[in-house]
Order: sequence, then C-alpha cells, then structure tokens
Amino acid sequence: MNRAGNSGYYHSVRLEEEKCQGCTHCIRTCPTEAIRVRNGKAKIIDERCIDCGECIRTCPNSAKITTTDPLDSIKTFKYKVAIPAPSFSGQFSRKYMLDKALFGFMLLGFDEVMEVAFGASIMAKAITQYLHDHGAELPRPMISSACPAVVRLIQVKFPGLVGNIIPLESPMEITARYARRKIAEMQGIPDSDIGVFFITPCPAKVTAVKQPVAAETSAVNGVISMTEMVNQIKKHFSSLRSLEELQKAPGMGIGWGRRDGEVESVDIPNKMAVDGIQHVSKLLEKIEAGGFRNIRFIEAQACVGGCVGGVLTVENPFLAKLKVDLVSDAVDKANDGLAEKVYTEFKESDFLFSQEIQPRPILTLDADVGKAMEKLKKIDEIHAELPGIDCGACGCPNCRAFAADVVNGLASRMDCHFDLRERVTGLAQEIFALAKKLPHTMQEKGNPDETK
Amino acid sequence: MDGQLIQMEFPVKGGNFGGAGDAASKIKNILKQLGIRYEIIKRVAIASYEAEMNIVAHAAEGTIVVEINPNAVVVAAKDKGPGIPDIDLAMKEGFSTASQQIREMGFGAGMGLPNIKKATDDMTIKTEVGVGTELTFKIFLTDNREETLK
Repeated sequence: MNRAGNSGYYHSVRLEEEKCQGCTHCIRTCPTEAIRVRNGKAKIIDERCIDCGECIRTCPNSAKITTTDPLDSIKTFKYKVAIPAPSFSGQFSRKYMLDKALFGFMLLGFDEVMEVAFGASIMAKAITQYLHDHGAELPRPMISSACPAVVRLIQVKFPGLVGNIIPLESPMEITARYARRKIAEMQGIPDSDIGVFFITPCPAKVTAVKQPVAAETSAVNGVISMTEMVNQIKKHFSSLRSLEELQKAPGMGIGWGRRDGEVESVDIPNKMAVDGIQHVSKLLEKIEAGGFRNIRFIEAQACVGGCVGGVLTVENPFLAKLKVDLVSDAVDKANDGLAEKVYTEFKESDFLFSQEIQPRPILTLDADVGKAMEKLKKIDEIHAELPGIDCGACGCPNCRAFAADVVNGLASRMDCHFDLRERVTGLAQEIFALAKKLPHTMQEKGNPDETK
Repeated sequence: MDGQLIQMEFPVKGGNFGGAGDAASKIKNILKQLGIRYEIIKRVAIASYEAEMNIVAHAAEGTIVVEINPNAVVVAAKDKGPGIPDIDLAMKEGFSTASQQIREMGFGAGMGLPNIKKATDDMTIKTEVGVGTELTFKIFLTDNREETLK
C-alpha cells in the first residue's frame, strides 16, 4: 500500500504518462519547482514534491492524478469506519442532506461514520489550551499543522520555521484515534479488525496518512477520494434516509472545512488566516525574515478557500463555503456539549506529535559552504546570459531553475532554445562563409576570394 | 579565493514601506542556498531587516552592501539621512526618533539598533548629523556565537 520512491518519500500525486503532452503548465505553477519536463513528459522530483495538488488543478490534460484507496479496500476490515473531512459538509446544501449523506456511508458498506469536524472542534480546544499554556516559550507566530501541504512546504522551503508549527495532531488523526478507542471499548472489537477510512478533499492528506511527518504510523487505515464518495452517495440519494443521530460534529468544527474555520474556533488573540499556496509562501517568506511577531496563531491552507478548494472536492469551492456556513449554522447546538465532554477525556500528551518535524531543505546547493558559494556564482553567471523570459521550453520552471540544473549537471546549456538558436545562427554564418570560399583555380581576376 | 566571496548591493528607497524587507529577504535566500544554519540565517535576517527599516523610516535613500565569505556575512547599511546625534541614546531600548506617522504603521518602537546589536557578533556605527549613517555588522557563519566571541 505504501509505495515510496527511491528517495524514500511517498507521493499521492502521480503522472499518467500516456495523457501527458509535455506542455509546461504544471512546471510553472508548482510552488516548490518540483517538476521538469524530460523526454516530453512531466517528471516529479520526489524530494521536492509536497503533494499540494497544484499540478492536478492546472494540468489541461488531466494527466496528474491523486492516488487514493478504492472503496473496495474497506472490505479487508471487519469493522469499517468512515471519517469524512469537514469539507464534506460543503458538498451538500442543507443540514438534512448532510444527514442523508452520512447515512449513505452505511449504505455503501461502512459500519460507522464519524465526522472529522468532530475532531476539529476538539482540536480547536486543544490548540487554544496549548497556546495558552506554552505561549511564553513558543516562537511567534505559531502556524497550524492542519494542512499537510503547508507543513511540507515549510519542511522543504522554510526549514527554519519547523519550530513554528504547532506540534499537535490533526483533526483527522484525533478523530481516527477516538473512533478506534470508542469502538474497542463500547463494542469490544479488537483494534486490528477496525478499519478507519478518511474521506479526503486533497492529495496532501493521502500522503499525511501514508507517510506522517511526526509519527511512525497514522491511526487511519486508508484514504478514499471525496469525489468518489460524493458520486456514490448521490447515485443512491433518493433511497437514503435522514438519520439525524449520525451528525455529531458541532458547527464550529464543520467550519474547518473552509477558510477561517480554525481562526474562528481557536480562542486566542491576534490570529489570522491565509489561503492559497502562493500567498502562504509569501507569508512564510516574511515570517522567516522576522515579520509577524505580533501574531500568535496562523491558519495557513494550501488551497484557495481552504479545504473546500481541494482538488478532490466536487462542489465549486466558493459555493461550498456558503454550504459549509449554512450547514454549520443549522447543526444542533447540543453537539457542542458532546465535543466538550470528549475533549476532557484526552490529555495534552494525546494531542502532541510523537516525533519532531524534521527540516528537509531543498534549496541548499552544496553541503560545503565554499562549494555552495562557487555554485551560486556559476548559477548567477549562467542566469545572466539566459533570455530571462522563463518560457519553460527547456523543461525547467524558469531560467533561474534552469541555470541551477545546468550547474548541478541535470541539464545542458543546449536545452535553452535561445542559446541553441544563437549557436545555429553562428554555425550557419560560418557555413555560408565557407561555401563562398573558392580554390585558387576557380578565382577570377577582379573577383577574388571574398571570404579572405 | 574569489570564487568563495559573494558581494551584492541593494538600493533602498526611503519611505517605501511596501518594498521594505526586500533586501533582507534576498540576503536570507542566498544564505539558504548556501546551507547556512537556520539560527544564523534568522539572526542575519533580523539584523538586515532592522537595518533596512532604519533607512526606509529615517533616510531619503541608501544602500545595503553585503559581503559573504565562508566564515562570515558582513552587511553595511549606508544612507543619506539625518544622522544620529546621540548614539548611546539611540542604542537604548525603546528610544526612537521615528515620526508619529511611522509609529502608526507599527514601526519606530525603538528596538531597531538594540535588536541588531543583539543579533550580531560585531556592530559599528559611523554617523554625521545632517549627512548620513553607515551601520556595519558582522555575523559569523561557521562557529557558534559563544565560541567566536571568546
């Protein structure tokens, strides 16, 4: 199940080679410059990819895909639990439709369904408490760990900020752990028989399950695409009942399905939300330079609009936001009390990461500072000679990345079409000059060899 | 070895708060490519940001000149500005001559020079009232701070 490449990194974002036209859309939108076009096909660099899904969003040929587990894979477990992401609520217009959709999981073979939005409202309390208790010794600002693409972006591009990531587990992980514990206790089912399946809005969450950054393994057994589940449920919609008791998450947790959900539910002053991977990058850039030190909590999400903007969702993200709002407003207020009670069953150590997040710097040119300096200078030299229009025809995202690839021996100067064209022009002129060269026997008086 | 020396110059425009921090950001990104330890990059970034902000907040124009060798980064922030009449006073935490307008933008807390001093291994100020200021600081890249200060 866990297919990690030679680099040791698992990636849920893959390429369907036969569909790839070798165009350059994806290489330029990738926030970590993780893609090159080689031999007419997009190639993902394992060390750089953060599984954010930007390339899936941008590919005009649908050649980039997310690898998820098929619905059939739930059959390998005796007791099957579905834990849909909070953004699942944004796929349905009304509260009663969400109730029906949750019942849909039972119809499709699950034994139980528990919303991750439930875990989100528990995590909102855990984060509030953590920032309250440890605020004084923590760096500022602290950044939410909920979006796995943002966590990985920090690891690779802003490694100095790994200490700013709140070291608490995600709502998904807490929901899965709570579900396992409760089912084992209440029904006496052994843990190995329980299969917990996350219904994901994005590829990053798949990777977070298959290869967690701060734990050995995840409490989640498999990850199913939200698109697949919504399609299946909608197919059976008319035959579904509205089972209200399945819907247990408080409105506050459902809000986590879209931007601002975390900020609204974490009770701490000076907090802000940022969405869209490019905006997140720019913000991290500023934080790294010492900015935003008055801010205590940052909700940062790779997708525009938050999780409802994930590439595996069905509904338009902006409409989905409205739907999340409508559903979360209509949720039974009594759900708050239940989440409150469950929260008290946890200790702080239950929420904490079991491992530290490690930096994975991709920008370092060489382990030796002196050699890195020489490389940087060579890159600057080559970059200065390039046309600078970032056309992408060489297969690199921009001229700068191309220069770096040349210095690192991963590309040849001749890969630049402009360079090649200039050399061909020079060559053509030489050929022309040579063609005009005449031997002495053919030279006439008054028409000497002009090429001399 | 001149292959192991990087020199750069960034112009800084006084009053341009929108572009403030650009030079500091570029310096930081070079150090990241060189694989310098994050704690050191952080100190360079903070000191260069404060130095850049001083030019933006107080002077008409200036430049940030950076020199990086495998052992240290040296930053010189030169400006054509009002100069500092009393350096000891300027070094006091909380002392600032920034205008009300600049304070309203969240700057001018009087922490600039003290923060630079704290973040760096060496700092010198040459200043002439009515002419300008040249602030130079050095941060060692290789050894840790405690050892280099001995």
